[in-house]
Amino acid sequence: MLRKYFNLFIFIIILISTSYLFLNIGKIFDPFSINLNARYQKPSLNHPFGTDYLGRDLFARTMYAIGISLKISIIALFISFILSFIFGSISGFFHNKFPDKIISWIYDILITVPLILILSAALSVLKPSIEITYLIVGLLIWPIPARLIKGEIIQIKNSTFILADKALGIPKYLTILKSFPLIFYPALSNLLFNLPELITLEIGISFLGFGVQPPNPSLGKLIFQGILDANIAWWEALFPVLVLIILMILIFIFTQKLKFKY
Amino acid sequence: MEFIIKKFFYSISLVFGTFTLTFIIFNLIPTNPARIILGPNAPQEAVIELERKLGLDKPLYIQFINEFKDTFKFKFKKSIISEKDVLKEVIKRFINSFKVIFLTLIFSIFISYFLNLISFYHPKFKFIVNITKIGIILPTFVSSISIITLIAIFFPKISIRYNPENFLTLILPALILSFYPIAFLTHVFNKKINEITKSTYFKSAVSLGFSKNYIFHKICFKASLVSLLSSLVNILSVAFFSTIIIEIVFTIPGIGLLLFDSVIKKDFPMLKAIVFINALFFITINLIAEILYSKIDPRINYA
Repeated sequence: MLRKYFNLFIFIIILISTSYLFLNIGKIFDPFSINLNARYQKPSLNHPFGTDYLGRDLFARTMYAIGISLKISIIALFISFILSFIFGSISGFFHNKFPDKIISWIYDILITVPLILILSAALSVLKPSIEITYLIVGLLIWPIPARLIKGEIIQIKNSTFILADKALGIPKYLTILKSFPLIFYPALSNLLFNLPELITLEIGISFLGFGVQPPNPSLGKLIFQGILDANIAWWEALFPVLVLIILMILIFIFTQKLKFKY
Repeated sequence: MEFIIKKFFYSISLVFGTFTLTFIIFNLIPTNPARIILGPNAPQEAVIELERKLGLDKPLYIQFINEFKDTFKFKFKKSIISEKDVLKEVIKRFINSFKVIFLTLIFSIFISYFLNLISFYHPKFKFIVNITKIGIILPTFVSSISIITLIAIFFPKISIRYNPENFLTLILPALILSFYPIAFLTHVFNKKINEITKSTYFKSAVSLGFSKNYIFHKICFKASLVSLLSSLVNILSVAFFSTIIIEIVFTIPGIGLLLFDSVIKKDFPMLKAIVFINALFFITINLIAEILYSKIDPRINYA
């Protein structure tokens, strides 16, 4: 029990520290300074990923963009975890009663309508910024972990140790406190499985014109610009995509490790 | 039958829910849409004029009832930018998108079917199935984006623009889109087949001397149909997200490009219609799938 939580905790710590590492590497190499004499330079020791149409260092920009994506998707995960805990425990305690039915109705709406539709509707009204985008994402992705928490609670409610507690006359709040850590793990690990999807969501949103606002670099805009300039500068899109794929594979391996530590 | 009626009314309540959700998004967030459309420097009279045109000057509950009536009669407001009929435009674009999604589904179903067929007949080809599993590691549209990037870098001469007269130009976008669905479907199907091969009824069918063809189609395929169908529904909503990107890159005049345009131009009636009609589509698809599950596998009984 403690061991698997320990693994999760270490994984989250690693994620947060990598996001800060990426951001700081980006800052050291300076992603913002424009140098028109060094436009479209090929990858070299000075510029490992080459430079773009304004002479900005692409290595720094890629690292900084991934750092921003990681950091903000972790915040979105945190928001949706809190929401899923609240809604999941309500619908678990009042299973098949009025609050549970309302919550699962909202759940069905959020599941059937594609995320991008609600997101773009909300973003067209609000001011475009990456923080607000991920706040809304956090408000929208809670249903599946909430279902998992609900399922865990129902399972625990029917288990024998709760019956034993009842028979011994232990007060209800103590029983709830005791079974508290049992309900988190599936929801948390499911949210972490969604992390790659969230990181790449930024790309889709940047294609729609929201997301990170300039001059801050964003992964989606880097790749889109790179595809447009592909016949002049092959390195512009290739390196961000490669780094993205490597990051995805690493996260996948980590989450697989989490899954088998039951 | 009772179950179908129950599900039908539940889906109608879901449609009402999505309508309410979009209403909340567009009307309750404390920003002024008229001000957003006209920009910060517009005179106050113009803003009030546009508010009256959009019906924003009335109290909130009257706005809600009016919009509710209009939406369920499919009478949408006209587009602010192009003054076109919104419903016709959305449906026209929707058909274009649907062509791509339909081709994607066909590709992904057939390719995953053949991969599993091959690995079932000749177990030494099983590595092909294992290779496609890599596709699941990458999130839905990272694979399509990386393929587009590779094509743009290594084959710059291929013209990837969509040509409405030439149907063949749809094949490349559909192939790129189907990368993730192929991996997903192959994985689900393969997992199900592995499960079935361990079961006793499979062993008895083999020992009774049925042909491999019969075993694959009548036993494995039939038993895994429900999970394949549910993953297809899942894929459909995932593919919708990727089509937006594919349409922007390939300039296919589909729903994604329309969404892109109307988001940039702040065309609120158009956006409302897009969200509502797509939600209607997805809810209908889910309803049909849920009815089909109980038809395919009579053990499934939600009632």
